[in-house]
Amino acid sequence: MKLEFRGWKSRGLRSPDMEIDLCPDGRTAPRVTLIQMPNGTGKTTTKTCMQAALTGEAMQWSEEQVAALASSTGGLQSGEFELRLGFDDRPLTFTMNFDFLTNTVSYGTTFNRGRNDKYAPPPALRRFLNPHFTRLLVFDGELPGALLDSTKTDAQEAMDAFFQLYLLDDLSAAVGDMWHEATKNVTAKQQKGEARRRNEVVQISNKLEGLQRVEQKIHKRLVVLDASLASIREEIGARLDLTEQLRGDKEELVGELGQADLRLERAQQSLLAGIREPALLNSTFLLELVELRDNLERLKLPETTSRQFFEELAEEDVCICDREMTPAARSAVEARAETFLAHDVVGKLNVLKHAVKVIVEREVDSTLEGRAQEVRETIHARDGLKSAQEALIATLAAQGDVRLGELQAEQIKQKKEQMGLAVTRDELVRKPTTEERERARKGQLGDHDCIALCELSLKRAKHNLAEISDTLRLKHQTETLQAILARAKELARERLTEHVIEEMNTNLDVLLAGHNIRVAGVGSSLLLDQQAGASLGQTLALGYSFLTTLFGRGQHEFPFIVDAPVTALDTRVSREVGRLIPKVCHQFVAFILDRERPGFVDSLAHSSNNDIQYLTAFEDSPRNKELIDLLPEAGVVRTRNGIVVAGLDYFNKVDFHEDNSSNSI
Amino acid sequence: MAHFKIRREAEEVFFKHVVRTDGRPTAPLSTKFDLFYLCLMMGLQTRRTSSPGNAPGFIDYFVADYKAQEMTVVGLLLCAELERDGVSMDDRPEVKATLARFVGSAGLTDDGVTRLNEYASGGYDALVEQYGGVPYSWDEFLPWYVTEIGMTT
Repeated sequence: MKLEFRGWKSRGLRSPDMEIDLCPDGRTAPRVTLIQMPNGTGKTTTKTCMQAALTGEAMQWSEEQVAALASSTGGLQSGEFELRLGFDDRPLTFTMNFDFLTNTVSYGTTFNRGRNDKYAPPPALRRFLNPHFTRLLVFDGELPGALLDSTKTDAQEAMDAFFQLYLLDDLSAAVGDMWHEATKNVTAKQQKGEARRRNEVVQISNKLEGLQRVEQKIHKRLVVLDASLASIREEIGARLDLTEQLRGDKEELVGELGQADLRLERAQQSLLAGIREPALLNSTFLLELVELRDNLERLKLPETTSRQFFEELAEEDVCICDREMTPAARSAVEARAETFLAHDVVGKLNVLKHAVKVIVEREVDSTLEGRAQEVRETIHARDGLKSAQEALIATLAAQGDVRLGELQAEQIKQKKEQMGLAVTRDELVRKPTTEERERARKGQLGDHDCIALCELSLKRAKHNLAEISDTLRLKHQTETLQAILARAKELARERLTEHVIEEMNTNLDVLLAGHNIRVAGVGSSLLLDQQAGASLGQTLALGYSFLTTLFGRGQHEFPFIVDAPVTALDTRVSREVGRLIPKVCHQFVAFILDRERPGFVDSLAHSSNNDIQYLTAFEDSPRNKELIDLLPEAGVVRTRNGIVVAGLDYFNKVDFHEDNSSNSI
Repeated sequence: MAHFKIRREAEEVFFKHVVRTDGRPTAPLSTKFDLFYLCLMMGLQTRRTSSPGNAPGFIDYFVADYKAQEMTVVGLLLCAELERDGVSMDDRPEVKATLARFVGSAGLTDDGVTRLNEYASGGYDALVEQYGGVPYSWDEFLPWYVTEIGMTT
């Protein structure tokens, strides 16, 4: 990511109206821009506005804070500050509109070609545009001291930003979001939920296994009972055969029962065949069908000609009457075709009429009611024969055949058991109803002994268990990954801090040669090695050392804007700072005083290969008459109350005649 | 052609003991179409219709046992619908429109199948009301059905 200052414009504010263009060739800004301004020209106002334009913080300013930026000459009800930037080589402009009647500030943002009537930085840039971070970019005299004060800055935060360590936090947050997204519909996400669901699976599995065992047991018992009952029937038959007289009765009964079963089967088939003929079900049906057929005949439906005939005719050149098929005639024929039934419909209706004819002409040997009655009577007769058979056995038993009595009693007992088991088995193996399936799906089943329902419940319980198992596995993976990311950030910070400290100290060896100032650590502030504090010049050198290290090693390219960059430094250190900065920073903008020029400017020019722009700005007022008198013919931009002059000659020529009471080291 | 539908409760509750739908052939009525037909005839006879609800369609043609009766059933549907819509049998265009609505190249149009489903559903309602319980064997139910539908006017 690359951020670049391209210029700014102010109007109606405490500073003179001014337009600073950092890209005079209309393309990229030079590596160094020096803006020479006397004190009292509104540098503080400009820096405040720059900070506020970058961060959007003016929306929270008090009325007093806004009013403090109003033009001191009075009379203006509004003001404007516009900051032009390049974000990854695309134009980005923040505009602040000051309303001094209400003492409020409104924002505008232009990015690429889009205009937004509010503070709206591109998302990728937003994370850097907080007051803490922008104070590092728009560097003022107070910052170096703040870098040593743990309550005022967060040096570690600056490192995170420059080295993109925040990406590890972003990744961790994204992993967390994925976990929440993946589990938003999961009802249980804890170990306790898994234990409960596992128990449910075990319980249902146990019940299913129990039911299956019972079913198998019943099945085996039914097989045994079938065989036993067959054996009992055989033995009863054999005992009946022992008595000559009863044998005849028994054979007669068996024969009659067989006949009855055959008659019943025939009657059933006959009844069902009749039921499947609608015309036999109800006499009204037949009457309706006949009436329908007759009415269709009367209405001459279906027609003998079908729609297809006319559709095909319309495609001919000549009509069947030998007349030419004109467009009008074709249209008439096509319209006529619409009133005819389709060919296949005609065919179906003819089938219907023929079916009615067949029904009417057919002779039916018996009515359906007669067939139903036959079924009833056959069933009645068969039941009677069965009763007679039982009575026969009872008679024999009464005559002293104890064994037969036992057999009969056993038969009754086993049949009873067989019926009971069959009912139980029917419940075990029955198909669930749709309603039960739905309840099983929702986990709302009551007590039951149905194997299929149990299987459905087990399937659901296993699904629920799998769901939470997957969830817990995902949770574990999420936590592991987040722990790895946190550890990676910690390790990266440690290693980077070591490098930053090493490099800072190398810089300090040059900047503060002989001062024995060294950095021991980077936390919320810079920690000095065995030293509680430093002089103003030392802290400024420390600040440069820290920031130039970040600029030099960081992954992003930020501009570096400094007010009074070397006021507190002597010429030697100023020269070193001037040599250092262009090597690590892609854009350096400094507000300097005339007295800061010696050593610093030459060093900057040399280090930046003369990729440097010189501007001089001051208020257009009588007190600056001497400066105005020296104005060159070209390169001067005048506004309502401000003057900006471009060029090295004028830059070197001016003398602001200010008190030279520097606090140099 | 659209699919024929039978109400879930008809299959799962009312006819549960009459027809074994689990494949064990213990009764002569063994297909869903048998049950659909019994309901349909009752509906056409009583002129009763209702919505089959969310019953799934089970087949889209007349099975072999009923194939010969397909056009007879269509004829009964036409009779019921002409009567229901109050179409005069002298009004040739209206009669023709009714024919075109319900009779198609496949025998029945989708409209025709939909109406049959509604008559079958209405017929099921009538069966449940008239029987007053659930039949437990086919040899008990079928003779009753024949008597009931024969008497119903």
